[in-house]
Amino acid sequence: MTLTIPALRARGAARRRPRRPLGLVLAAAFLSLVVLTAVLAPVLAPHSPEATDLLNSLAPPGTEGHWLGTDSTGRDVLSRLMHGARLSLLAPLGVVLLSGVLGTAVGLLAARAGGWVDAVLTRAMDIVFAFPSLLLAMLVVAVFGPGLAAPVCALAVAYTPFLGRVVRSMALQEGARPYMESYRVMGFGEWWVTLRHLLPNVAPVILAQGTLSFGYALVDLASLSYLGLGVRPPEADWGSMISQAQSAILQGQPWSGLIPGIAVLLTVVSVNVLGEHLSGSIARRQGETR
Amino acid sequence: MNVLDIAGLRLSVGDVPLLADVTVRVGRAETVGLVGESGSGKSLTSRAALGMFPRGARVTGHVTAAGVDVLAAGRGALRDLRRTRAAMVFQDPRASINPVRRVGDYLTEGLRASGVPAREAAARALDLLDQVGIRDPGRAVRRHPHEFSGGMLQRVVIAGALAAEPDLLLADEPTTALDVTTQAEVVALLKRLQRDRGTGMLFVTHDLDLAAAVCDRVYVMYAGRVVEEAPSAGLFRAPAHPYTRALLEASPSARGERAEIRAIRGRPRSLAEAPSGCSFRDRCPLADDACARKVPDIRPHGTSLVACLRPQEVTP
Amino acid sequence: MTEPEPVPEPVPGPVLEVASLVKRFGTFTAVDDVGFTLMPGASLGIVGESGSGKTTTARVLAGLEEPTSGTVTLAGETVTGRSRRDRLRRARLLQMIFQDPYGSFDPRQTIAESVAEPLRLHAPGSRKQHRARAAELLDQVGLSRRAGQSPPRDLSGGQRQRAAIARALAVRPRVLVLDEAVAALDVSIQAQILTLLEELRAGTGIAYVFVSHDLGVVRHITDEVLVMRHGRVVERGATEHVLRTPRHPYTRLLLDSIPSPDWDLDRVARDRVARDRRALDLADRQATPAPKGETTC
Repeated sequence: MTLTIPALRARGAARRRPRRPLGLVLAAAFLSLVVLTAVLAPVLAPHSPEATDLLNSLAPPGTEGHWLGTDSTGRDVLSRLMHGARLSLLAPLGVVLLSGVLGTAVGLLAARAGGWVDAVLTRAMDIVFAFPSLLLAMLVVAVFGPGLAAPVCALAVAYTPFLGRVVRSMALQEGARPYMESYRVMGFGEWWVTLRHLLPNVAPVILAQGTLSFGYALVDLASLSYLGLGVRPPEADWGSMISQAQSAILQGQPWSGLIPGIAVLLTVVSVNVLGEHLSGSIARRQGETR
Repeated sequence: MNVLDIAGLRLSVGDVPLLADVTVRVGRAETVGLVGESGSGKSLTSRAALGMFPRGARVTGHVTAAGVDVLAAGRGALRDLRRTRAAMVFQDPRASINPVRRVGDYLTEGLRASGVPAREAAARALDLLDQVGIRDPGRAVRRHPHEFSGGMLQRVVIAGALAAEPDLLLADEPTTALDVTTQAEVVALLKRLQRDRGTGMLFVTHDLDLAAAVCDRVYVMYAGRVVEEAPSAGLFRAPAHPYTRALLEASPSARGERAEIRAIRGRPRSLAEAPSGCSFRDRCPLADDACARKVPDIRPHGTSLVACLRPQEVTP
Repeated sequence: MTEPEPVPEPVPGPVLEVASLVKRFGTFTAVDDVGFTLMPGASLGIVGESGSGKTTTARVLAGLEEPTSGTVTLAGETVTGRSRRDRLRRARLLQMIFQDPYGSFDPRQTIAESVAEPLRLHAPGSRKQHRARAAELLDQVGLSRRAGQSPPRDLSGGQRQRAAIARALAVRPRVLVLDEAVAALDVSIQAQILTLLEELRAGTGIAYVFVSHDLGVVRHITDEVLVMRHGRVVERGATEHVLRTPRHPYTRLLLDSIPSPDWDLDRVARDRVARDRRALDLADRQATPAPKGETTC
C-alpha cells in the first residue's frame, strides 16, 4: 500500500531554488529606471523642462522631438517628467527617513521604558494616527507657507505612528526573548542591549514598513502639489504637472496629465511590490529561526 | 483483534527518509509505549495512525486503526475514524482547545457533529467532566480554557477525547507540560478510564520511566526505526538493545541507590543522518564492523524483540 | 591572554548569602522569606513545581527582578543597587543559564561572537584577544571551531546549551544560577551536560544554584537542596538525606509522583490527601509562626 501526500508546491519550490517572481523583477527594473533618469535628468532630458514653445502646445505623444508630447505652454512632457522625478522621489524619501527615525525612536522608547512613558507615547500616537495626514500637512502649509519642507515634516509626523506601533510591538516581543535577558544578566545596560541587539533584529521590519510608507508619501505629496500646496513653480514634480494639466484635460487633451499620473501609479505599485516581498521574506526568515 | 496495526511503515518527504520499516501493534485494552528521543519518529508514527502525514510525504506499508485501512481510506472514512473511533491527546492542552470558546462547546462540538441532540450532548459533557474528576461540572462547562490550570485543562481534553468512546486513544506526550504531581494524577486518570472502557492506548513519550510505569509493552525507537520491543518490566530488568540500556544509564534516578549516570556520546540522529547498517552504531560502545554491514534483523532475546547483532553482550 | 578585571580576592566564607528574601507581584507573594548560604564550589538545588517561586528566586539572584525585601550578598558585598557599578559587579560574580537553549542567543550573531560579547564589557583587550578567549571557552565546553562560526539556529539544543555555558563562564563568575537548564534536552544530551557541569565545578570551584523540577537531576548535581512550595521553603537539607528520608509530606508527594516501574498511583493519591489535610491544618494555624527546624509547613 503506497500513499503520496501532495506537497505545497510553492514551499517545495522555494526550498530548492529561491525563485524570484516576475512582478518583483519588473518592479525593481522600473524603479531602477526611474531613479536613473531622475539622477541623470540634466544629461538625458532632450529639452529644458522650462522651455516654452507656445506654437507647439498640447502636442500629442509621438510628436517628433516631443515623444511624450507637450503641455499647454508647449513644454516637453518627457523632460518635465524626468526632472520632476527628482522631487517626486526625494520628498517621499525625506518623509520616510524622518518618520523612520521618529517612529523607531518613539517605538523603542515606549517599549523599553514602559510605565507612564509608554502610556503617554502610545496615546499620543493614537491621536496623530486618528488625524488625517493630508489635513495635517495642509494646516502646516497654511501656517508656514508653501514649499516642500513644511509638508515633508508634517507628513513625517503623521506617518510616525504607523512605524512607531509596529516597532513598539516588535520590541516588546523581541525584548521578552531569553537572549535579551541573558545580556542583562551579563551586566549590559538597558539601552546598550536595545540598540545593539534589539534594534538590528527589528530593523528588517522597519525597512519593510518604510518601503510601504514611501508609496503613501509619494501619493500624499503629489496630492498636495496638485492642490498647489507643495512645490512652487517653476520647480515641478509629478503632482504639480497633473495640476497644471487640468485645463487641458477639460479640453479633451488628457496626455500631459495622464502621463505623470501613470508615472505616480507605476512607481507606487513597484515600491509596494518591493515592500510586500521584503515583509514576506522577513516573515519566512523569522519562521525559520523561531 | 488489534485496535492499531502498523506494519512495515516507511515514510519519506522528498528524498529525506523519516521512518523505516516501523511495526507497532496495540491490542484492545492494552497500553503500549512508544519511547524515543528527538528525531526518533515516535510522533510521526502515532500521527500515522490517524492518517496525519506531513506535506509531501510518501508513505508505504500497512496502517489499520480501529478497523480502518488508513492508507487506503478516503477523506470521509478518515474523518469518521478521527471523530468516532480514534482520538488523540497532545502535549499542550492550551494549543488543542480553541481559547475563545467555552469548555462546554468544546466537549459537545464533536458529539453534535456526529448527530447527538443538543440536550443529550450537554448532559454527556457534564458526565464526562465528572468522570475526569472536575469538580462542579455545571460551572466548568460555562468557563473558558484560560480559567483552567494546565492539569485541569488536560483533563478537559481527555474528556473530549473520550467523548465518542473511541477504540483507540493516541496520547502524544500528554503529561510533558504538566507538573510532576499533576502528571501522576492525569496518568492515573488515563489508566482508569482506559481500563474501564477497554480502549487501546498508544502512549508516546521521551520518558522511559514514565513509559515503564504506565505501559504494558514498550517500543523503543531510534532514528526512525523500532530497535526494541519488550514488556515494560522486562525492559527495565534486562534491556536487550545497547540504546535502551544507554538511555536507562543516562537518566538520573531520584529513588533507590544513587548510581552514576553515564552519558551517551554524540547526539540523537534522525533516519536521514543515521549511519549505514545499525543506526546506533556510531554511538554504541559495542559496535564493530559487522554492525555496519546491514540493518540488524529483529529477533527475540529474553523477553524482548531486538534489532541488535549481539544482545547477549548488553544483558547476558 | 585577556583576563577579566580581578574580582576581589575570595573571602573565606560564603560566596552567596540570601536572607529573608521576599518578592511580591501586586498582592501575589511569589517568594516568601527564602534564605540560604552557598559556599564556594558548593551546589544547591531548588526544587518545586510551577508556582513554587523557584524561578522567581533565581531571577532575583540574577538581578532580573528586584526583591520586595531581603538581601542578596555576593562575596561579602550586598548587591541591591541598580547603578552601573553594581550591575557589573553582580554580573562578574554571578551568571545565569536559562531553560530555552533556542532563544538564548541573538539570532544575528555567530555563537563565537555571542560568547565573546560579555568580554567586551568585562575584559579589557583587543577584539582578537576576545576571539581567542571565546575559542578557548568553546573548546572548554566541547564545541568545535565550526560550531562557533555557526549561527545559533544551526546548532542542536545540546550544543546551544554548551554555548550558553561557555558564555556564562567568560567572565569567570563564582556562582552559576541554572534555571531548568537541562529540562528541554533529550535524555542522552542531558547526561552530557550534567557531566560537563560536574567537571566544570570540580575544575574551577564555581558554585551552582540549580533550579529544577526534576528530583533525579537535582540528586545528581547538588549537595544540598531546598524544597519550595507556594513561595516558601518547606524542607531543606543534604540532598541525599532529603530524598531518602523526606520529612515534609509535600516532599514525599513529589518523590512518590515520579514514575518508575513499581509506580503506585494509589500511594500518590494517599500522599495528596495527606498534603491537602496539612494545608488545611496550616490554614487554621496561619496566625502562629512556624517553628524553626528542618521542616516548616
